[in-house]
Amino acid sequence: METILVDNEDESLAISTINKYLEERIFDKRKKEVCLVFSKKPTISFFKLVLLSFYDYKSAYLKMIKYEKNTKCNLDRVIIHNGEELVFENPKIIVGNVHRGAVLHIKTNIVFIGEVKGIIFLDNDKSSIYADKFTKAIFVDSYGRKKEFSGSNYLMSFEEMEVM
Amino acid sequence: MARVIVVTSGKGGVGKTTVTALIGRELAKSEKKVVLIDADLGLKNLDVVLGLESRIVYDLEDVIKGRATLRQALVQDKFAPTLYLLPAWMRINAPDIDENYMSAIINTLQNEYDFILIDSPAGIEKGFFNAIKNAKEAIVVLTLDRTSLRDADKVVGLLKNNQITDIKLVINKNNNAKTQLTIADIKRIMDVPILGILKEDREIQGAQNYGTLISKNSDFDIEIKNITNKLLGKEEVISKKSFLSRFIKNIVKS
Repeated sequence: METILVDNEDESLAISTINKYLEERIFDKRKKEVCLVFSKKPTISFFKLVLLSFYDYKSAYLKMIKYEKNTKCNLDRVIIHNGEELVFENPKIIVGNVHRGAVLHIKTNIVFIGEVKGIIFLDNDKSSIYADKFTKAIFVDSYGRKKEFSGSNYLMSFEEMEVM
Repeated sequence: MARVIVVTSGKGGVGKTTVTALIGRELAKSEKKVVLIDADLGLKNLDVVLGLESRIVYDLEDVIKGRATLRQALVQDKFAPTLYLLPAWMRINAPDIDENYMSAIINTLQNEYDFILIDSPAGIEKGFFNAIKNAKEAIVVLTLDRTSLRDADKVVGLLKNNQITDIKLVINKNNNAKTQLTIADIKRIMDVPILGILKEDREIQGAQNYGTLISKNSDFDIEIKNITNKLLGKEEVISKKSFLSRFIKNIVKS
């Protein structure tokens, strides 16, 4: 894994630093893991720009989920409260938590940079959800199989439900 | 068009009704025409907190059943002439109100008033959904307890599910005790803007019991004014003046 230290005091300068790094490796065909370390906490808009810089080149993995080139993927900062019921049709990266009692219907890839406690319906064989932390999250797949799971840095998918 | 705001909480006893009454009165003092609707049909208390219980002649039931017009049922406040109360059922066995009636009442009031505040019942049964149905904004009142936080969390989720996204919190009964949750906990867990933080105050108990006004420039009064200013979109934040600054002001005046 390569680690790049990025001074993000000036965000536009930071983006050009990252782009320059990517350009230098444009002919490098090997898969590489890159760890970006920022000098200050990145803002959501800046974080989005960083992710977009990576998407512009080739397929990328984010938290174990592979995103093909030009995948449309939104980044949101949101807390999903108890009682909320949301349907995710498109890939999304979410910075925030899912509270106990919230219900998510997932039809695609979702990444949660945060803790997930709710009830998650994996609606089809392409559904997957990654979270930094699952705490007694309940997963239900389209066959009606139900699993409770706690763990860190885990990708729960339709296939994973079969294995578990 | 009036701004329709529901004041809700999930948990009972957190101070929804008091907050509704005080914000309503303060908005009226800012020359806004305000109507408060008591949607807590089973356990109505808004009239008591406002000290208006003896002035009620007609109520929501009379309006719905055609025994009185909406104008006849509205009770004018003693202290703020542009504040009106639409009282809930007076009788004990209050049936659930049809949601269409509530919509019709709010539609009628919307053109005449600047603010419609709906005091929602505790819990998340039909009464709650009736109360939130016509609202565009919500104030969720909570105390610094885990049970209150959990219920507020659920209520915020249900409000969002019902397309009410303009949600703000009012934290009530804060006494800075170590046994309470902290404001930082609420901010972190809820991630909802905080409209104001009200201290636990004995004076408010007196105001509730006797329908009196709270003392001018008390901490509670100042915070209610700040909440109202925020609702009105004013950036002005009032802070309590120290004894010294009041003393100097009096000298300058004289």
